[in-house]
Amino acid sequence: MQQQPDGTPAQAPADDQFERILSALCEDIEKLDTLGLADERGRVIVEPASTLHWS
Amino acid sequence: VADESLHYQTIREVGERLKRREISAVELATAILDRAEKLDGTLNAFITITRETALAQARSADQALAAGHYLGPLHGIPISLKDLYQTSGITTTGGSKILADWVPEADSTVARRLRQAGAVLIGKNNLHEFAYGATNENPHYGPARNPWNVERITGGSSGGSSAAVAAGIGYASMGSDTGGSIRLPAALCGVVGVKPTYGLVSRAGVLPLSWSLDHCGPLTRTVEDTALILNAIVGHDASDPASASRVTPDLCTALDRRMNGLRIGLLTEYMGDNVVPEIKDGVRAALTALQGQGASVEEVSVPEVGHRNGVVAAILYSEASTVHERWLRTRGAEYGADVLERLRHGQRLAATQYLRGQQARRALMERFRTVFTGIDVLATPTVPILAPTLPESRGWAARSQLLGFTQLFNVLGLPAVSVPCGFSRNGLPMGLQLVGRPFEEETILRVAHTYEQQAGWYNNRPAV
Repeated sequence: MQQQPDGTPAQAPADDQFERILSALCEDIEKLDTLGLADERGRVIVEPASTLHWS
Repeated sequence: VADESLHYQTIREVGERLKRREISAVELATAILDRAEKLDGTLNAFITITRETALAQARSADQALAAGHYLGPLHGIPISLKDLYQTSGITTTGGSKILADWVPEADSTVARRLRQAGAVLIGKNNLHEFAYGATNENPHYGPARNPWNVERITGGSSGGSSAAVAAGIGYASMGSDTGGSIRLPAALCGVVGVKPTYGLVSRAGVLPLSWSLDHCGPLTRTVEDTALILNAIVGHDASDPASASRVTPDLCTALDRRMNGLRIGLLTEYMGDNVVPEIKDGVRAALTALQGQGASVEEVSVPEVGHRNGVVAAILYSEASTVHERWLRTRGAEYGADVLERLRHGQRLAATQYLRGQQARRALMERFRTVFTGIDVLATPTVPILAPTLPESRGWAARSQLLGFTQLFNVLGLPAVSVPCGFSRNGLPMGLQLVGRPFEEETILRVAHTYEQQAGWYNNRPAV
């Protein structure tokens, strides 16, 4: 089980389904690399850029 | 005075009757409250019905009108709020056990603006716990039920809102939409739902789920009613850090403008084999109708939409778990199982994964900026499936399907409306989603209104 920095358990024991779903989520995030994000250096935003100019 | 047809009139129609004093606000509120109490045992659309507040507000509306103080088209109009909107002196549960007894001291900005516009609050609507789910199966307050078939889900998380509006219990309800929570229940219940541009409608005083994906918007029976509600609630609000500083035009003015020259793109990735054929037929028929009104329609392919899952996983899960971090530590046992599982998943993601999601969001936004140079409006089905039964809707796969065509536009912050586009052979509603450029609500509402008025689906009534 993972631990928090103070050594306490991070959460209740997780079952297989919990871990399976978590793995699927992580795989989906990993696939984002195919968008060519290596070139996104310095261009991280934290909110939708609604104020960008749209033609 | 309170004939059955009154419940299904538009805001404009019933507002004119109020203005002419053919009916009083108290009579109207009483009729709607009676209907709420009669039907809510079946639909479970409300967590709280605010009869006393509603009648007091209605009396004030009548007095103001008698004194010549007309507040505008919402004067005396009964509406409801998803129980995520803080309301002064009225319990705001968030659909949770944790906040079951919370009575806020102040109104959310939207609640205050609606009250100042003369609207009458009839109640607080049921929702998926903390708005974190697509089915509105709520372990604490029970599921909201679909007025078109009470064995089917309303969709969520604004399911009480869509059920109430579809059943003629009030003329509008305010929902919230983090991944489709306005548009999905609107589509499954046969009403209109708008997720405005990120920043157009203040979220101050609305319980957050994911601050960079959360949007507030109305559910109504017609597009014009949606425009009337939006007119009353848009505008900068310093209490919401994301609130945009811009003037929004009267959204009713352009509704009847012609379609000539308007370019609609049909997103081919959202018309695949995973979409129920009747829904595809409904969407294509709607676009054919719009072509007949002068719009041009072309197919548009954006393969990058397949990255929706990854972006949403990174951003939604991380932000929601951050929002709930304190309660997860101290009151974890009070969450429903499905919401708790999602929040625990979010706790396991890394900062690098969150930031990867934000980088991808930027890349997708640039891609769609290019797409919108060739079209004015993007069209998709709102939901690829018809309203499932509760057992059918459980599980991760179903949730992904229910929100599969709506979540991306939360990531992008683009305005999107769901408007009814017909009924299946077994009588379940279907929705057409129209998406526009930032702050071009006027355009998507004009297209939705033009189609709605030609098709007339809003004249259908559920047998509740």
